[in-house]
Amino acid sequence: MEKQRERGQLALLLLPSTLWLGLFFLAPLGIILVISLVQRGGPVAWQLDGSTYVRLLDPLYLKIFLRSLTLAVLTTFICLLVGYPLAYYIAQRPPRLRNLLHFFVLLPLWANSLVLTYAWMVLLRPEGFFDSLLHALGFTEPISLLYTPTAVVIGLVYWYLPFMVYPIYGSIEKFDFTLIEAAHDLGATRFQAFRKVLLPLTMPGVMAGSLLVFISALGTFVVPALLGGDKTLMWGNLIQQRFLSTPQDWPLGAGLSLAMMLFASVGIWLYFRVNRESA
Amino acid sequence: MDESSVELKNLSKQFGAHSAVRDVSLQIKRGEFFSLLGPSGCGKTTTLRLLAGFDNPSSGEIFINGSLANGAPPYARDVNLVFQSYALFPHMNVYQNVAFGLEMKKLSRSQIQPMVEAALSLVRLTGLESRFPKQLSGGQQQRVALARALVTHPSVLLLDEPLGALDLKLRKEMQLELKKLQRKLNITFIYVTHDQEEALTMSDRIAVMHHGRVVQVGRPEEIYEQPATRFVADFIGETNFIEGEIISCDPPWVKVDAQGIQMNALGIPPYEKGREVVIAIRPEKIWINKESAPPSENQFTGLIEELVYLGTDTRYLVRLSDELILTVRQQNLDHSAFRKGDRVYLGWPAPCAQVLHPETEA
Repeated sequence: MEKQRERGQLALLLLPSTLWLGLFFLAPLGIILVISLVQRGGPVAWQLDGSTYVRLLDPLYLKIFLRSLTLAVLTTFICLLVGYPLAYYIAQRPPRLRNLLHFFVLLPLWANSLVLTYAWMVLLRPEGFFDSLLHALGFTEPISLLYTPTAVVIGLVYWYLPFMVYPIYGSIEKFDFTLIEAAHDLGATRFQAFRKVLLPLTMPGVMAGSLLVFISALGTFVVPALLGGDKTLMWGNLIQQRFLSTPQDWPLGAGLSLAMMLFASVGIWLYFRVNRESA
Repeated sequence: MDESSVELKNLSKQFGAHSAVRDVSLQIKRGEFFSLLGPSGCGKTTTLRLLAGFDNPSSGEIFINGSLANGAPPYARDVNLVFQSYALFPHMNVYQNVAFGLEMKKLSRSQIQPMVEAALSLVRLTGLESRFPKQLSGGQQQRVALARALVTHPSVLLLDEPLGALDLKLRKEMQLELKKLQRKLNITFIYVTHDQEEALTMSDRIAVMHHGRVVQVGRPEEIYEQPATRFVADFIGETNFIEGEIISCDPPWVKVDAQGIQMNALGIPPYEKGREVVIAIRPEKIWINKESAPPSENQFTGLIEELVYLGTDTRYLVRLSDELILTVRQQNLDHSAFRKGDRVYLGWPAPCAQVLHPETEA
């Protein structure tokens, strides 16, 4: 009796999360899977067809996929280069200043991201802020950053930097700085202490931050759509266009989505494997 | 040849408005086991950190092996520190932890291995090379920290309350072991502790610190038998303090009147008549007796007010007058000798009662 009641309570407690995951994760995933396996029509013809997966192998898509991959890796790398020192700096400040710095790092997340991206368009366009700045510094060549891969990376770094900073900040905050003193005491220079002690022990934060930024950047479509123009299409734009722009091709869009999910899942799986081994 | 391993000259350290270390001068001999003893906040750990190079002194000079060390970074000093928390690298196993200092010296693998093995056998940890710190007991972690600090053969080893986290029995064992190790290696040990017994057990010399100053430096028996100030007498061991006025002096002896009870004490330097002083006397220096008393200059009668049985000895509180109660400790050769309410004779040899220097600073 007691056990049954416990089971009933457990089921009740699990109900909200089960409903949530079922309705908003598993069901859409199932729909996408089904769409990827039927023919295109208006917008889909309910006829089983596996040809979508053959069409995915088009070199054009491979090229866009490689571009997405390159831009995502580049974004992750730059976020890491900027984010690690930033996280370290914040973690070293006295608590009051730390709160202020947290506020500044999180500020962009509070504003509408679309508006912020438009702001970047203004900054990056010809005769925009950067162009004028370079002119003032004596560069005569007109420089237009807008609608280039550089603009996309700038936008992505701007968007995703907090996702890099916070996991790293978390592991630096937990770090016992006596260990750095111990390393110095045993003859390690500042760089050696960083490489041998601080970096390995904050690696979980680096990995988590990199994964968050990488996967988000890989699937993004707003930033490349606005800052990249037609020449810097990313995987996310491809998916979005198959669903919303003519010519519509829902099965292909669904297939592209699933391909990216598979890729990201492998990445996450590798991450947990490496983490488990090092733990 | 310069005998001193470490020399501090007028060393001071300010943290904002707070003076952590004030005008400390010390000379520590090569191969000496030297303790910095004092309550928490007395400046002993700050002094150690200045020596290790983690902080820079506000003024004063530090000499290590005869050369000025001010401003030199920790990694350039021939001094290693054993941290209170051990500070073992959690992502490295025992071998890697101990090898760390040698790798930083750019020694080859074939050079490193025998040195690590020797250091581990020195602290009796052979066989645990591949364990990680979290898989070790507190005592074992302590030994790894010791091996890691000793493996590079520093000329000075600094130890910051290294036994603080161990239980009593293990601590006593490690005290003897540390002392033996220090003798064997003949390295200068500078040992920070707030545990007076630990300092007395291990040290060749002790510097007692209070409010950032060194109040007394001496061998353990000097510190215990001839405490320089009331603070030292109070901090190290148990002491009876008797307040009184000097009624006559015959250097080095003085006669003191303590609320009507007259007693003789040692007074160095000479004190003038009429001066208010404090006399210190250790509880175990006082004898008590039920019948007659052996002849002595300081002989009184009193009433046993309270007794506390402590195993090896018993502590008695004996009332001499309305104002004066003394603590007496006597070994339990015959523990049923005295009872509460007994009238007893008590006394002490005059050299055991000491007039204390007035405190230079509170």
